Amino acid sequence: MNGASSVSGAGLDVRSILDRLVSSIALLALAGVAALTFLLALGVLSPAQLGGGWEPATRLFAAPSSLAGWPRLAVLGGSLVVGLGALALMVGRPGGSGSSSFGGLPRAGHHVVTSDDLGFVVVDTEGVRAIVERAVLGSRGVVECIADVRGTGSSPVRVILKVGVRPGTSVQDAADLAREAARDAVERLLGLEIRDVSARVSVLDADELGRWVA
Amino acid sequence: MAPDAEPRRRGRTYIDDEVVSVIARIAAEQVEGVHQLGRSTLRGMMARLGRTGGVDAEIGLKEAAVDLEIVVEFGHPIREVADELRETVIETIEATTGRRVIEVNVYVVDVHLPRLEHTGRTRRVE
Repeated sequence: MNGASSVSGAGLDVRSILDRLVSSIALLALAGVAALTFLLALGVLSPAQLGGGWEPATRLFAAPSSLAGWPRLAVLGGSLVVGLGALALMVGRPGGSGSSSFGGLPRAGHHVVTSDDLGFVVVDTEGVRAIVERAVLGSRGVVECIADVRGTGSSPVRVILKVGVRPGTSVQDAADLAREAARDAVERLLGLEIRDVSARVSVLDADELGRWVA
Repeated sequence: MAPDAEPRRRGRTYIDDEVVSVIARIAAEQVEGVHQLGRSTLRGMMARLGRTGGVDAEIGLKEAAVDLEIVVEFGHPIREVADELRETVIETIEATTGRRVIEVNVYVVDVHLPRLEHTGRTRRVE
């Protein structure tokens, strides 16, 4: 876990380590086989290089390199997916080098909502951005919104909005509404402190409007 | 070991981390405002193949700790959702395993947005 605390009475360490070691080796082997298959199918490696003069191995490695057309593409794609999948599992599994544990507090790209004796609650910057943009898009006249969220960790959030409005909408009103919506979203929905919200409003012309409105 | 010792003194009960992950997942899914656990990316999907996606738990003989990755429904105050989530997960794990939960970390990785009816980026063309 990530905080200062560690679980007491954790008596399964050896078994747990063995389990993780075995599965990591298996995943690494799978990624290795996939990489070799990919390189053979691509023609970067030759079967003779890998076989080292041993006839059965050379024959085995000749299989992916002898393919052409769609079968070759399928093998290339399949080996790539399997290889990347094995690597993703290795990185994503608990205890791996890039454990799915969040890796401490605070981390770049996170906004701290709560931090107490029992742990912490953080929101990813992407989540903050999505909430702000959706909140602003609910404002009258606003058709397009791109939000830039700054200030991570426990520091107050800064929001910079780029807003597109329908023709005929008051730019000043739209800016005020957008800023208010962003502020409300950050404070009420996220529970984060906000430093300032700035908005740049542009009126969309008919072509641009046609792109955004069905 | 005395032959007349209480049954619970005749050996130890070990609980696997994965069991706690499953318990935490079930508890978390019942909390209003939690759309899903874990990321919806390829990594999230791959992680789910091997482990309980979005949940990383650790349990010993006395204590447990859990990390949760969640996607929150838009419109729900995140602080309230997270507080309820932590409370529910702690109560459920403690009631089910008998271990004291010492840490629950919540990482809100994304927000689930409903489709806008009239405007917005979710519908560029008809």
